[in-house]
Amino acid sequence: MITNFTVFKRVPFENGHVMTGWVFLTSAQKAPTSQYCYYTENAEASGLDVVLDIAQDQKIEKPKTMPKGFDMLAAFNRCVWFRSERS
Amino acid sequence: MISNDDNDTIKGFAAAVNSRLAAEIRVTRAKSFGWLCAGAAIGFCLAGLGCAIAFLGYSHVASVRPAAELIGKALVSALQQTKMKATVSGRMSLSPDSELKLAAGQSVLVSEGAIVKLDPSSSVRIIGNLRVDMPQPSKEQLQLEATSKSDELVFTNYTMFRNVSYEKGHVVTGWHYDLSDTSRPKSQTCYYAESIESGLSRG
Repeated sequence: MITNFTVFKRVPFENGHVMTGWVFLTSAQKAPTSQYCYYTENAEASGLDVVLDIAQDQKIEKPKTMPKGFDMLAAFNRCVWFRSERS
Repeated sequence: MISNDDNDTIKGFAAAVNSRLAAEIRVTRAKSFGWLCAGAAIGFCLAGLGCAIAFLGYSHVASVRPAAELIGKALVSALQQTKMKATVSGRMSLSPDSELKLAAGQSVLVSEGAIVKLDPSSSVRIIGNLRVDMPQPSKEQLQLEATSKSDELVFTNYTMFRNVSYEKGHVVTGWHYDLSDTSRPKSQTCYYAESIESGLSRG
């Protein structure tokens, strides 16, 4: 069994939220093992959560199919990245 | 020629001398008797005193009570002033079917690294909060002051994930915590995830 924890930073964006996850394996880690950022929106009609990957480890990801009118750069700017001591 | 008168005078004188000598002898005898009596009395007194001291000493030796008291006092005094330090070592073994019960208010401290086994059929009832030894994010890892480039209001929470291998993927259990109460998860999720092709996953 593998145990880890992820600190989530949530920022409201359009009809949903931009979520940034900082993945840690231990409490002693000075910086996260990895970071990811995605947009999520609850589709009330279907009851399903729509998830759109935005970035991984501060690098923007461009999905093959982009929702119409979705501002990827604005969403990316709402990602909250971990600030290490060096930065 | 000595006349009768002279003869009488001599006889009288001799009688007086004899009488005087006899009186001196009686006085001397009386004195010697007195000294003898005094010496005897002193001797008897000294002998009595010696006997008394001897009997007193013998009574201290022969009597049981004073000796026992002395020995007892000596022992008590010695024990009071003696610091005893004893180390008991060894191993106590109990029979496999024995049972131990703790008296009210007593506690048992298990040394670090020790293993306590429970009977497989036993049940444990815990009163209070049970904190499972799991990693918790530190203050530095939470970075509550972190902001996005756009300076939006940021909400922070965290999730503990446990991954268990299952078939071709993993069963992931997530415990979602709010910072307002980190003693218990606000919600929990569980899903199965399997990578079906590079970069994609289904859950």
